Formats: sequence, structure tokens, C-alpha cells
Amino acid sequence: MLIEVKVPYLGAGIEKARVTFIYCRPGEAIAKDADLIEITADKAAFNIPSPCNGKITESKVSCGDTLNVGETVCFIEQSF
Amino acid sequence: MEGLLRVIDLGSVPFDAAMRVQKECLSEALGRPGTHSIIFCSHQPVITCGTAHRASDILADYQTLKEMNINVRQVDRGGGVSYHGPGQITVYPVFNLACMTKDIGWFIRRLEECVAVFLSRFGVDSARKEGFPGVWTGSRKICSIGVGFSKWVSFHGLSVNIRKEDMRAYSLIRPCGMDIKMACLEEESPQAEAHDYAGMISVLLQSFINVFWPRGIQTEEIKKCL
Repeated sequence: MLIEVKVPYLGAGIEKARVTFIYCRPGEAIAKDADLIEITADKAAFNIPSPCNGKITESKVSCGDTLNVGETVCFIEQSF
Repeated sequence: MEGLLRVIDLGSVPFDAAMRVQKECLSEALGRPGTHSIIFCSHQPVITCGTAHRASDILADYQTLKEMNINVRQVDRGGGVSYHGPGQITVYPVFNLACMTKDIGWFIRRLEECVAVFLSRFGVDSARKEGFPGVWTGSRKICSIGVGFSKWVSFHGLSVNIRKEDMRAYSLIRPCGMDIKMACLEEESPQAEAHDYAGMISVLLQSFINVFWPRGIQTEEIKKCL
């Protein structure tokens, strides 16, 4: 099953965040709760974790990108 | 009462050692929701570079920093360049926001409030500036804030400038990437000199409890061997 990972709600009034680090890239396996990317907003760095075990099939972001809350980060092919 | 707050006072400590303790607390918080930690310390001189830093915000060259025995560290917190030294109190709140409010802005505003309450105990009026996180006395900044989150557990935190003899080091950087003047408690309050580090930690801890847990929280003092 393909899982879409989105930028989560970060708090009231925070609509955008900048990608400051990418931990995992397409083709790589990822464990549930492992960090996918780091984003920065309002003087806070925030790691977005993987929601499942699997393999990243497609990334939609690059370092330096500004993302909106709810925007797609990547897709993960879930493994069980 | 809700949860447990583990209180860790590291005293004067190298930055890297405090980072290790922070990461231990982070792992513990992820495994035990409802358990938070707060680490107090003073650092030996170090410049830290957050995720938004620019190399040009360090004004001194490598040789000067080496001669002054000031290390530079790239860190996983938000914000730009910051200086830490023995004249500051640095606080690392490792709080699980999943048990509180999952809101970055809420957390940072509470950190600012903790420092404002702390400063008010010394008769110092302070304010926050919209769009410029930190705590300000007039046009000068007295507290810098930069945090990170892993699964809604916070790490890194804030530094409050206390002693005036350590302020010259700020000329080596553009704090938070801005051309600003920094303030310290000793310059702002004649009452500050009467308090030692331990006394200030006690006031600061109480400020954190009052702001984050107004109904109280059980505390546990933890000793760490570094």
C-alpha cells in the first residue's frame, strides 16, 4: 500500500516551514517513527517521522524548499 | 498534579556533554509519555549554528576563535548563530508536547513567558517581539531561543544572559543573524549580584513550573555523572 506523508499541523498561525535536512531518500528503506526530513519554522526544527515501515518510492521535496502545512513530503510503499 | 518533571543541574559543562544528556532525556521522554526533563547548565564558551544560520553571521575568523578557545558546533535546532558562555544560564526543556499542546508557537511563547517571569523576580520588565522569538529588554535581547522537536518532544531551548563580563563574546557573531545589542541581567537589575547560580536556577525552575504546570507537577532531582 502506498502511504502519502504530508507536513503535519505545527501550531496555530504556522502555515509554512522550510526543509532544512533530508534523512532518507527515494529507494531507501525506512522504519516506522524514523526521521524522514527536518523542517524549520518559528525558530524550531521539527523532524517529520515515517508513519510506517517501508521503502520511499518518491520524494516531493528538496533541501531549502518552503512547504505548506498539508503539502506532500513523500510516498512510502508500506511493508509488513 | 500531572506527570513528572526530572530536574537536572549540570553546572558548568562543555556543550557536547550537555548534548549527550539532552539526547538521553529525549529517548527517555519518547518511551515514557508524561515524563519531562529540564536541564540547567552553563557552558564553556561555544558558538552554535542552528538550521537557519549563515556562515557570515560568525564575524570572527577561525584563528581568533581558536585563540579564544571557542568551539563552533552545528546543531539541530531552529534559529541562527548563538553564543553560549559561563555568564549565561542555559535551559534545555525536554518536554513531551504530545501530553501538553502540539503547537510549536505555543511552546515558544511559553518559554518566553518563563523567562519574563524569571526576570520580573529581579524587577526587570521584558517583552517579546512579534516575529523575533526571544525575550527583550527594550531594544536589547536578553534571552535567545532555539528549539528542536522529535515526535513532539522538545530539545535545545534557551539561554539567558546573566553576567556582564561575558558579554564581549557577542561581538564575535551576529546573534540570530541580526545586528542587535544583547542585554544581561546584571546590567538590568542591581538585585542580580546578590544571587548565585544555584539561587537563579531555583527561581528559573519555579518560573517553568508556574507557566507550564500551573496546577503543579511532581519533580525529581536527577544527578548526572559526566
